[in-house]
Amino acid sequence: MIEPFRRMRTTSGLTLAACTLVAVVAVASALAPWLAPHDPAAQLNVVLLKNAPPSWTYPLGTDPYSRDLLSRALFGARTSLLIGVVGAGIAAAIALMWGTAAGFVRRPISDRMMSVVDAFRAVPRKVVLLAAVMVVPHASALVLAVLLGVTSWTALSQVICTQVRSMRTRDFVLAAHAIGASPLRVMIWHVGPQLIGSMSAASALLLADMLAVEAGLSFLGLGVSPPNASWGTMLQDGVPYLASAWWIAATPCVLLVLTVLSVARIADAVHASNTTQTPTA
Amino acid sequence: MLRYLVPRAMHALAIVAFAALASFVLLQLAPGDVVMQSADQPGRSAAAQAALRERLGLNRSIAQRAAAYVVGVARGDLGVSFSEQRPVRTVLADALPATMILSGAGLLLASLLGIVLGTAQGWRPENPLAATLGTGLTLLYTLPEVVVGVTLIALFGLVWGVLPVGGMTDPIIELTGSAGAQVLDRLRHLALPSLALALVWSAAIARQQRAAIREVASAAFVRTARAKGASQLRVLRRHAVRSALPGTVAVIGTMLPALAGGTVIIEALFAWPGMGSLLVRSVALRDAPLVAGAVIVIAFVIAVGTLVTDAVVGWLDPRTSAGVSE
Repeated sequence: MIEPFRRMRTTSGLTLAACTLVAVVAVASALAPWLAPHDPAAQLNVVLLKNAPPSWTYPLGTDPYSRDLLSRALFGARTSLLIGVVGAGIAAAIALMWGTAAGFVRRPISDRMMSVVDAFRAVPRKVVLLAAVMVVPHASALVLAVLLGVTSWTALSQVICTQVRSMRTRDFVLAAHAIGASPLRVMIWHVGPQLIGSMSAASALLLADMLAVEAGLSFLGLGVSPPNASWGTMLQDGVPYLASAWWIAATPCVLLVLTVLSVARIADAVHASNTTQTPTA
Repeated sequence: MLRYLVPRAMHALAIVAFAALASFVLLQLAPGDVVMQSADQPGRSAAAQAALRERLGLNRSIAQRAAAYVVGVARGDLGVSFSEQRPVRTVLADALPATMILSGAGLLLASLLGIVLGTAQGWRPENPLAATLGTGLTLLYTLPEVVVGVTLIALFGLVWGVLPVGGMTDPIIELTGSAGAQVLDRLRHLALPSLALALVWSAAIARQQRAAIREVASAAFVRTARAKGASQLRVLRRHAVRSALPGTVAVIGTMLPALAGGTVIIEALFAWPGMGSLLVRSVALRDAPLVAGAVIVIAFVIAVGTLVTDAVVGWLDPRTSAGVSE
């Protein structure tokens, strides 16, 4: 478990910068109530402070409802990261369970289990997600995270399944069977640890993906419900004023680009350190 | 070839049937009761309610209703949209062409970009320009589509002001322009949304093409072609790209789901009047029959698209359709 991370000690500067940036965003979102200069939902002055440009009192400017953008960005980071982490966790957990089970059982059942995944993948995830949002209107951030997680596990489960299938006939698995270990024990104690490297990389990639999907969904007005802030809802507020008040949309855009690319960079680094460890996996 | 395609066609049919069933479940789960909601007779008596249920077939068992729904779908009957008061089929038929044009243009652009860049990168890994552009595409792939789209709007629409950023046509040109001006106007409106899609989609194509070209570059038949004295370009065009392409076509095929339903966000951003915008609107209005119909149509388009891709791959690489594995 520690091995892939120990290897990361010899990381490149870029990966280090990515880790720092993610850490800063995480800490800032955790401390949002103390760091934010204003209430993120307060409409400070609908007439005078509509779309105000950045100034000393409002460092990032204000949005169309005269809310302070810095405060919204901080609280938005909270919502976006919460949805991202919980969603990615749920997706990774389902993918791990379904993929391992499907890779472990005998062939006909295994093939059936994977064709269920194929059928799910036949319809684009965004469409499934939109349909789910219709059934659960005005979902809270946590419910939204669950919806995102439940609709995003299929691709990873296919990868896991192939990996587990290829392990079934490897010596260490056969040896474990031979000394009388129960199938469940083999699955958890012998096959499971082999998946940690690829799972940690895949989970980071899922997090980047969840951040992107949340932004898209909230931009459409179907994600986080107002007046709560998320980076996606900030985009939704800012895009109509792109020509007159570009700083409203620029804030979430920059935050999203930096965070998503950093998380993806970390995923790459974890993946790279893992593949050098087991070249045949 | 037929023995290769028939099972795949059956599979495609099964997926559409699955989508129809899932849509029925969606209709059942969607909030709201048609009988209680209909506004024409607010104080309907219990007997009248029962009669309406009878007439709408709501008193039958859920299995019977599911069967009736699937049979209706098979006949092309998708029900009536709540919000538009028109058959779902005609509403979708109006929106589908716009999406096909946009995603077709996007995929075409993505394929061109991906294949050219991937080939350049695989053939000449040391070329800094190809490497930089390739990395750029990979970065774009991870970003949210909205951000890519908003950046394009800001650059091309606002800073440089060279391209229109919303809609499919300019209403004035559409009414008064000549045929040539109309075509040009449509292409100009298509440019930014399809570029946004291409930038997001092309990374996967480029990666596959790069790997395939790199593998082929050291193959014996390429060495032979070189030994015979064929020029670099000829070796690349006649030998390397040709054998690398089937895998890339297969990857493009796996992106077909995006063709029918993956344009939701870009459509909404660029006010493109297609399936994506329709889907967003109908979800916002809780128009369950319309959403369910859209899911079915998207699944159908994807099933047909996958089938066509399988046929094309089988034709490009006869080993696939003959059932020969390496």
